[in-house]
Amino acid sequence: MTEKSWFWSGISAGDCGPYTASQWAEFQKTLFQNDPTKDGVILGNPFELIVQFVAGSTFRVYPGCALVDGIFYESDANIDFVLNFTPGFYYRIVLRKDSLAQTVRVVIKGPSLSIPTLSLPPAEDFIEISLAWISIAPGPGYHIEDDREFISFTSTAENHQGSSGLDYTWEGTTDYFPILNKHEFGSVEVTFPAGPSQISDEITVTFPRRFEFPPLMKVSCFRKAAGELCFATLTDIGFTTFSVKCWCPTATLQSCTVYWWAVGMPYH
Amino acid sequence: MAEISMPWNEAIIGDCGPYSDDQWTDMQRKIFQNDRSKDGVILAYLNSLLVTNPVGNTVRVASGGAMVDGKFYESDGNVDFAAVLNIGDYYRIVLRKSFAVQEVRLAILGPDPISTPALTQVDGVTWEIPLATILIIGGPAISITDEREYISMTSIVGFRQGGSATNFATVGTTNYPPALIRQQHGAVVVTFPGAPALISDEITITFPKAFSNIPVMFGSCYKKAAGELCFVCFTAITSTTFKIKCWCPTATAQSCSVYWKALGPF
Repeated sequence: MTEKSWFWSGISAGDCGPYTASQWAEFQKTLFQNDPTKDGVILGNPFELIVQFVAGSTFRVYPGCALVDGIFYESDANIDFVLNFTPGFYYRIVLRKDSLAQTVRVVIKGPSLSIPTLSLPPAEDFIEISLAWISIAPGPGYHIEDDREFISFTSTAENHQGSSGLDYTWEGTTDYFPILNKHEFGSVEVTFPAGPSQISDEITVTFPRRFEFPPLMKVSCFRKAAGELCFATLTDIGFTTFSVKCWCPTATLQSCTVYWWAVGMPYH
Repeated sequence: MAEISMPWNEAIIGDCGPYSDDQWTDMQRKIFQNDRSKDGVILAYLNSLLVTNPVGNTVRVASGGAMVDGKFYESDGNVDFAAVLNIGDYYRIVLRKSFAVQEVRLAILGPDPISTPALTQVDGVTWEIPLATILIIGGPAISITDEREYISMTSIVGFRQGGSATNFATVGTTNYPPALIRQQHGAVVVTFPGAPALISDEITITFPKAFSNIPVMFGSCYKKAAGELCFVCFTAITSTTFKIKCWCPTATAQSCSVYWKALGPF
């Protein structure tokens, strides 16, 4: 197949059907899954398949929907797993597409001594996307990492201008074609040194998820007391953190709120 | 049903078909519709089902497409309704999915002398989503409030950091997973008091559509005269409005433009 188009009526001319379920899944994957090895959970459906600790050594996958390699998946009930709480053990909760069984199901992988890897064809018969991984710590305690990536279908593609198509902080006037960006944003408090000071302490914020390269950023200030004004400036941007300082012209502030927003390449 | 997946080719095994139209419709709804009680018109398809009042008592719905509780709908021409110009009456234009007749069609609800007619949303029977509310005002004339919500499927906004799961402006270092957010933005003029002043007047902006909680805000200034600089600071933010003031270090600006952007829950 070099070129193909869907969907057409009739059963003999051109690219007509009938079409198979595999073709439909391929159609959905192409349209909605930017990275089929990672995404995707569908936003906006109840609980969105989030994995959380419940009690004892039980973890729960809450209901939600996803596309796994083009196949639509839905769970309308909690799915619980009881883990062996031996320190040093790792687990991974995945959605597994099993083409032989014709199912997509939640599966727990592990325990193992490192984060279990995902099964991907052609080495294995399954295609898996990750929901979360869990490590058991001494105590015993646990660490859970939300691994979900969400499907997207957006026409808000962004052209980028600078001197690097990778590092968005490089200044320039070269235009770059739209790529899949990741946006992150947040709200953080910035304090001023004791005594009247125009310039705040510098604070460093760690992005919720790292970028592949330093992102482009925007910051704005919200004053905390009447009669004051404040302004923010970025002092450092990396792919995992950024730093910010604020300026209060009247030197009367003790703290202010900074809203930050970052756009850059998602980490691969 | 605890877990299900579809579609699959082969009969008999696993989650194979045949699949009903309900299953297919539900799949489409879950993929495309974040809130089936409101969305969704398809943005920029034909004329996006815009409701207008071209003349007299005519209420016109332009061409467009939508997904109504998982069913695809399309109209390739104008559809007109006639409202009775009785001052104080309310109407509502809706898209109605009717199971009995297996159709999605435009409909007008009302007149209602008290308030906007309510939507009917009964699973398996009738499902309506709003396009516009209409109020007959003095003149008499027709006042239209756009109620369209668009389908979207995007996770372009990734993780968020703060101190509240609902109030985006609360400071903190807790990471929250992607959620459905609304972006709004605009441009506004800020004036400085008559005499040369460092600090501008404070102005209040009402968001085009209210958020469900307080958003985070971003602003940038554009000077209006050479040799001037100006900077913006947010002084109050709610789910419906925000206030800003600007600072001109040289105290020479009479006004400046502020470009603003809000990211918040809806």
